[in-house]
Amino acid sequence: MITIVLIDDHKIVRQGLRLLLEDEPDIKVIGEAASGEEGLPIMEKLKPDILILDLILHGMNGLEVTREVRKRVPGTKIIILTMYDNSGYVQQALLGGAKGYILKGAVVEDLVGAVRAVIAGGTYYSASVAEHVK
Amino acid sequence: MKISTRLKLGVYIPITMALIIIAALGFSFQQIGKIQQNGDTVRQIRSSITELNHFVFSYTLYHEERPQQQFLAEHENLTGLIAGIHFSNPDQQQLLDSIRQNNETVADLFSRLVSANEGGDTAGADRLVGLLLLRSYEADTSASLLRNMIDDEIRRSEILMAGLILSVLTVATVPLTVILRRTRRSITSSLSHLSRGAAVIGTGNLDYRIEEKGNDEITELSRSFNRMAAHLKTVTASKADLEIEVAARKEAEDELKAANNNLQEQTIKLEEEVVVRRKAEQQTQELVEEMKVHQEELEAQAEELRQAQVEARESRDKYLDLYDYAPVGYLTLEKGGGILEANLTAAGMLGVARSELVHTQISKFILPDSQDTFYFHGNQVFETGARQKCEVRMHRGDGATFYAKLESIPANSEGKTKQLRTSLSDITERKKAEEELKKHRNHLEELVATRTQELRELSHRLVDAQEKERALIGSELHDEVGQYMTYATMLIERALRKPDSQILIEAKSSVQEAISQIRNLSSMLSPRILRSAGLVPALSSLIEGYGKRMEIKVDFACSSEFEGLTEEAALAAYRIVQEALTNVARHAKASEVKIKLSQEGDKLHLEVADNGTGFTSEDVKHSTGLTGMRERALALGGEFNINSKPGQGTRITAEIPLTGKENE
Repeated sequence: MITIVLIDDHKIVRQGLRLLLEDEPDIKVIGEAASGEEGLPIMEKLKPDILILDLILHGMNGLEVTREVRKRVPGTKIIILTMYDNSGYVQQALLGGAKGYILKGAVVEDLVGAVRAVIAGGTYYSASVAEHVK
Repeated sequence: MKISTRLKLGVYIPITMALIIIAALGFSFQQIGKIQQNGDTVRQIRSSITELNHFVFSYTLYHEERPQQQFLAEHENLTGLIAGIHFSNPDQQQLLDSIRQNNETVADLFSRLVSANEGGDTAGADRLVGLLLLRSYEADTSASLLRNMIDDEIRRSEILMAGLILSVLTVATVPLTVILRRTRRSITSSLSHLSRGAAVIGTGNLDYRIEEKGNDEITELSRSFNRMAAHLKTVTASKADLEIEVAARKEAEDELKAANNNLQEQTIKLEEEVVVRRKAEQQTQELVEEMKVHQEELEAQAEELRQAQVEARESRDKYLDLYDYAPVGYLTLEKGGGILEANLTAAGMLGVARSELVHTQISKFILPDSQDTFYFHGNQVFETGARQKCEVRMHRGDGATFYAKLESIPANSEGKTKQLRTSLSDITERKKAEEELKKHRNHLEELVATRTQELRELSHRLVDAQEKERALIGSELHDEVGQYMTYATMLIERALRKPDSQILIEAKSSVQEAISQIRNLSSMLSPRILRSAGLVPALSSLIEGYGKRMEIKVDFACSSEFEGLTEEAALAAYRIVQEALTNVARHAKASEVKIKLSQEGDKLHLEVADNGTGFTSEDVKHSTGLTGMRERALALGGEFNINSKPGQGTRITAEIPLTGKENE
């Protein structure tokens, strides 16, 4: 069973993600939060396999949350989920230790694919993001 | 010594002596006169003291007002007398001081006596009368002593004077007697020698010589006698030679006769010449006549000249009047700044009589801060030789100051020291006006600067606002529309994999939500409804959406259709309401907003009032929203007002001309 925590400041996005991910029988969303401040204690408590994190947040931004999570819960792999495919964001996120970077556009394949790739120890980028990674 | 010198001495010594005596007498009389004057004053003091006593007695007997008044008057008189004299002799001065003290005490006692009498204290009054008389007696004694001393002094001065005259006489008589005696002796002995010698020479003894002793006039006479005797002797010796000479003279006489004849001939010739001369004289007479005619002509000319002179004088007087009463002050100055001439106007302007003005320095009337200007002005006139102007501050004789304009030219008086002709006009009024104007200009410049600064700030804030608006639109798109679309996408993907109508309905409503948000955003950015439906429906729509979103009760009242309302005016009204509502939502914490829209003449009247927290003007000093609203109203020639106090809500009103058009 793959355990996941969601951090996104839009409730309906979290709702959609939960719907999509829980269609997979071996994936379980065990917690969610609207901000980094709210999410970090949950992360420390639940120590999920994967964190799906929005880059744009109120309060701490996604990059800051990435660094904190890497420090406090090193076992958790991080996938960035965002509407922006700006190369600056991508590189910052990857430098911060994120393993996947997917866009909110067409998600289902990306999302599940990313989860599986990251769990397997690899990395995953949405097609339009991949060119920024080289 | 010559006899004449001695005699002169004999005359001068008595004259000198007389002068010395006269001088001594004059001095002594003056001294005695002074002393006597003091003596007179002392006598007056004594009689005044006696008068005072008399008044005291009168008062003691009758207690009347009159002696009291008389006493006071007399006392004042006495005080005056005492104050009027002064003695160089310390003894006399001491006596005078004693009189003065007694006099003061007497006055004091008298006033106490009066109050004692008025108070009915008879015993006290008696005692005071006693004291008064005692003091008065002392004063009288002092005055009497003083009088005696002065009499003594007069007597001493007289004796001194007599002694002086006697000694001068004695001292002068001795040398006079000696001189006269010696003169008499020397004259007598010299004369006896001379008369004896003259007798001897008179007998024919031409070899006798008179003794020449001393160097006075008689000795000179003796010397002359001796020379005469010697000469006589020589004349006697040459008698023979004389006879020869007589013969020669006869011969000469003949020659003279011949010459006489010759002379007669010449006389005849001369008479002829006289005739000729007489003729010439006649001619001269004629010339004189002619000259007389000329003289008359000249006199006529002189008369004309005199007439011309009178006219010249009249014209000069006219000129002088013009000069004196010209509306401008005229001054003639020498190079050093001394005033040589001034007209009456100049004297009036400087507040000094003309007679005082002339020969004073002009710099006396120039304030220190203008001295350099005037000095430079003077130099410039002399250097360039042309008219120069300057403005200085001057002060009048009475101290009032004024601005003056000076215009000077060098005076063209040849060969004289350099002079300036200067006109002087009072330009205080003009200066004041100039300063007033300057003040106004400065004020205007300040206003312009302030306005410029305001506009700069506004433009800065507008840029800022634009940036904020963009950020708002961005986040609106991301946070609202984006998220609903993401959610819808996710739902549709899910339904694609596992068809589920419930999920699709959910996705549809999410897309509808996104559409509605886009519509809101679009109408916020550019209210198209305004153009298509007009101001009132646009506002209704805005207010409806606002009321729903913000949970604030909005009351909208509109009393007109606003025909002829231009697009610019409608947009301005819409934006003002929109901004006002945004402010209410952001800051006011109000539960209710009232919006009123009405037409007043050719103006749209707009009012937005809330029941929120309100604010002070300091709170909103840099509010872009308020400035934006105001600028919108003003740009269309309208008005904008805010009325707010903390705790009392906020009311904004705007008036916009219906036909308002931005004047760009």
